[in-house]
Amino acid sequence: VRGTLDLLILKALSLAPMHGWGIAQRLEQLSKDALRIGQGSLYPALQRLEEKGWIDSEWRTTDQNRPAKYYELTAAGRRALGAEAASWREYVNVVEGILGTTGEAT
Amino acid sequence: VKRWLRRLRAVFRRGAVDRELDQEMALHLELEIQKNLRAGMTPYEARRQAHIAFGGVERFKQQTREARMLDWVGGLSLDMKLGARMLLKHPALTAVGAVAIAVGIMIGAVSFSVIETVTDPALPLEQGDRIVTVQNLDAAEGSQARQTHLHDLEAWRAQLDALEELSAYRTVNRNLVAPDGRIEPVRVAEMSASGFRVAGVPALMGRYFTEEDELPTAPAVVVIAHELWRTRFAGAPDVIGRRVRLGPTEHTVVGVMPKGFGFPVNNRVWTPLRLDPLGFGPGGAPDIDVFARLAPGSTLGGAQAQASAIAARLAADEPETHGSIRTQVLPFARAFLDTPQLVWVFYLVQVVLSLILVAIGLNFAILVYARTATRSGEIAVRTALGASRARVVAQLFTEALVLSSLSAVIGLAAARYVLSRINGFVAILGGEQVPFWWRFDLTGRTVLYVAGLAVLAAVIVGVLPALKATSSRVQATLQRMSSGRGLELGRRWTTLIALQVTVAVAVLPIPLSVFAGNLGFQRPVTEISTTDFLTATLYLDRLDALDGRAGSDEDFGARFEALRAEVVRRLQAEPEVTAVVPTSVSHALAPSGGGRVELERGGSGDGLGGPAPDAEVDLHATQTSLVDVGFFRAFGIPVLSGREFRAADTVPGANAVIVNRTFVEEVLGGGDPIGRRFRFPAGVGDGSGAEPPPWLEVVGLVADLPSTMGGKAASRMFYRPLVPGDVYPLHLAVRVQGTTPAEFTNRVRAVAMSVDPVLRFGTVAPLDDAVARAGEGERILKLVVVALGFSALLLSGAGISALMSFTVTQRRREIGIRLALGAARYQVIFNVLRRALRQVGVGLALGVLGSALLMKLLGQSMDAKDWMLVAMNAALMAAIGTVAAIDPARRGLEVEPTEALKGE
Repeated sequence: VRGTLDLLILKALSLAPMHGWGIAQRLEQLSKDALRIGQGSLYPALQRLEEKGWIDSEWRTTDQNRPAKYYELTAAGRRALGAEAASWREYVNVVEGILGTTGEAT
Repeated sequence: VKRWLRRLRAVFRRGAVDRELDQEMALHLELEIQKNLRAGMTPYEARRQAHIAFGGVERFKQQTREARMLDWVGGLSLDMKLGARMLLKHPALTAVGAVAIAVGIMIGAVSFSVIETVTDPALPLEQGDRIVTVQNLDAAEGSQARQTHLHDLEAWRAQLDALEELSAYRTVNRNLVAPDGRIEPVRVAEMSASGFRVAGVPALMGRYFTEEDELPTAPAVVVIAHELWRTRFAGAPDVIGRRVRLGPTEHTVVGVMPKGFGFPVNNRVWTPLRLDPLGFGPGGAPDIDVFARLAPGSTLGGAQAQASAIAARLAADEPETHGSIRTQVLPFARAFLDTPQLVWVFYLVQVVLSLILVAIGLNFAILVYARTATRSGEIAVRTALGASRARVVAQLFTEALVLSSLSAVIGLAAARYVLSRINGFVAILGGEQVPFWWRFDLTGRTVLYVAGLAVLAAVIVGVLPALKATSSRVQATLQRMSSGRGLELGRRWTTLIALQVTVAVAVLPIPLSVFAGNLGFQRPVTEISTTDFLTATLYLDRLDALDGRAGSDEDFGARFEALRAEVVRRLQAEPEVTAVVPTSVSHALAPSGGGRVELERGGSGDGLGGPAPDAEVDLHATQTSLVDVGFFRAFGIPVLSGREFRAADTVPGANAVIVNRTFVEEVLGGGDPIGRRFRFPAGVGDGSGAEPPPWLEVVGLVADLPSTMGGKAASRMFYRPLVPGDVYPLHLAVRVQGTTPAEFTNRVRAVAMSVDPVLRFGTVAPLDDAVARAGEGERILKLVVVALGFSALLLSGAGISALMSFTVTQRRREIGIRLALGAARYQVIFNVLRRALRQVGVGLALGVLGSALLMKLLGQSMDAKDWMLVAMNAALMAAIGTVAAIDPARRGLEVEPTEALKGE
């Protein structure tokens, strides 16, 4: 879901500023290859987050001396990450709770 | 903020943003490929997998943009870019449209500013909108004359409690003599002490009046304006208590008002109003202007109702003096319109002037339609590809908006210039009579109005043709395209061409004739040198209660006559003065009348036996001017034959006139004019139709003089002697030597004051300046008329040209077929031109007729010169039409006959 991807991007960027490909790689790594981020959703999401002012971008060079656009969490983004993460956990708990009840009844 | 900056950047530098996106994607793809290579794929497989993972690049960029929510803005900016590109692609069309619409916008903006200032003036005083005027109108006189008397003020003060601080003022003219010795005529506001409280502005120094100052026995005091304090007292800090002379009386300065304060009109000097209502019989009190503030909680409507009730009661009590009096309560500033009831006339004028823009816009829209029609293929294709009609119309509207915005900028700049000219003109013309809040300038509301006009113009120019072009069934257009044909121009367009030509031919001679007047199209005139002359206008002020009214009674006339003679005598005695000439207007020479005259038949002396008034007589339009007996000698104008005027020519019953050359040639038919006689026919002037005025006899001949000083136009003039006692005020032209006119002005004023302190010279200025001023209004009008005429000429020329080339283009295929069938080239060209020019011809004929009609409506008789202008204009339009038709016809000849036939 879109909201999930935003949360994951924020999480990835909370560790270090990264370029688009780096974010995709990091998320794959963190999910132990369980998640493959479609670039088709990655870049629009980045634009959206930048629009909201949660992340900021800057052109830098990579280790291989290639220009790349690095994204970085803003203060607002950091706050948003906290809030989004909390609401995600709550959401998961609620869903978990529901699933648990159904399980017992069965 | 940063976000908005980014968004703005995305709109305006879309290319750069897209490039960045491309770069980002490219990097992503490359890193992905590298990763795949590291994973051991072959280079081909690595690239392929990377692309699969990536998906369609373009689709994504679109998604990314949509994420920015910019798409519609992008569409708009794209349209604007397209619009700008279309404008650059057709530079001639763009220039014509921009100039024409700019002229329309300029006229709209100027009139809006002026009308806004005049009709809806904001009085720049605290709560200025609560200051009102109360006035009586005498409906019985049919003229709605204002009749507000001192006694009315008393009545209102007692009964009108919706108003507070009821005050009055009247304006009197005085010579002001300050300690610096300079004499200056000023309009003094004699104002109630409460008037200053109504204005609500405290004095800068000293005080303003109190009720004690209004007592007849109180010492004479004066309050002066900031500007007067700076210029006449050199800003002296101890000005309070100093003395100023106003006419015969010394006044003590008690206060200085702050800068910019000119209430009630545009005054610089205030004295207390000391009129005692008990000193006058009913209805015999002097006229005054009454104003007040609305009492807290009361409204204009409430005050009006109360005033009307009082008026009704008075009318019942005193039907003799108040039977037909209506009382009106108006916003103070509004009362400065001559007929405040007629505000709607101004709004009507505004609407009419805005219609000029609509007319220009419609005219240009025809042009644009012709162009849009040639783009009908493009439009049809776009529609077929799924563009909605709204989208296409929006695009064409945006294009037009780009153009009209450009015009709006040009128009506003031009309007600003014209307004500054008008400001200067009004200041010169009205001086202290122009209300101090009348400053014509571009206000925010004007700019808003202009923006509205620009959108209106864009709607007319863009949307109308677009709706027309998109309404034609797309299917049909596509079919026609495939057969190589564009839109058809039917009968309607033929009519339009004829109409366009008609209007152009009918209307254009008027500005052309204005131009012609400027270009010296007429007979050369003998210039009159006005250097070394100054002009001065002499008034006699009265000190009694009737001050302010022009002298009409006999005593006043006799007194002025005696004093005037003494002033002239003393001026002539000044060593620097070489001539003193009374003139009829301040700029020395202007037609004072004119009309048609009849000639005496046969030249015999029996004038009274001349043709009967109702017989067929040749009447000749002429102009006449009153000149002093010494006028021609003083201005060095030689009398070519006959004699000058003598003193005996000014006695009642004398009939001597002097004529100019044009008069001799065009009215008298050449020959020796001396002794010839003419007269105004019976019924002219008096309307009785009984006895015709006496014959006038030519006694002298002069060269063609300008009909006004500094003017260039010669006309059939005859001069009659000016009788100085007949005119009030009296204008004098004074020639000086050994000094300049500018330096001598104060001396002239001093001479008048030495005769009597209430003799006042109004304007004293070098004659050159007066001449330049007199022409200013005409110059502004010419500027506007010429601008309008010029844009009409441009539009008509471009319109005729575009429509002609369009119709001929339509027939290119037909031309090809004719050629294929063996027609000779000249025959084909002739055929095309004949049909094209028939439309222009019809327009020309109608236009010439219309032109004559219009000239007649404007009261102009058509003479040879005017006919020539009309003919020149018609020839110009015919030439434009022919040239416009030839080029496409020639291109038509290049069509391969086989190509043309293939379409069938």
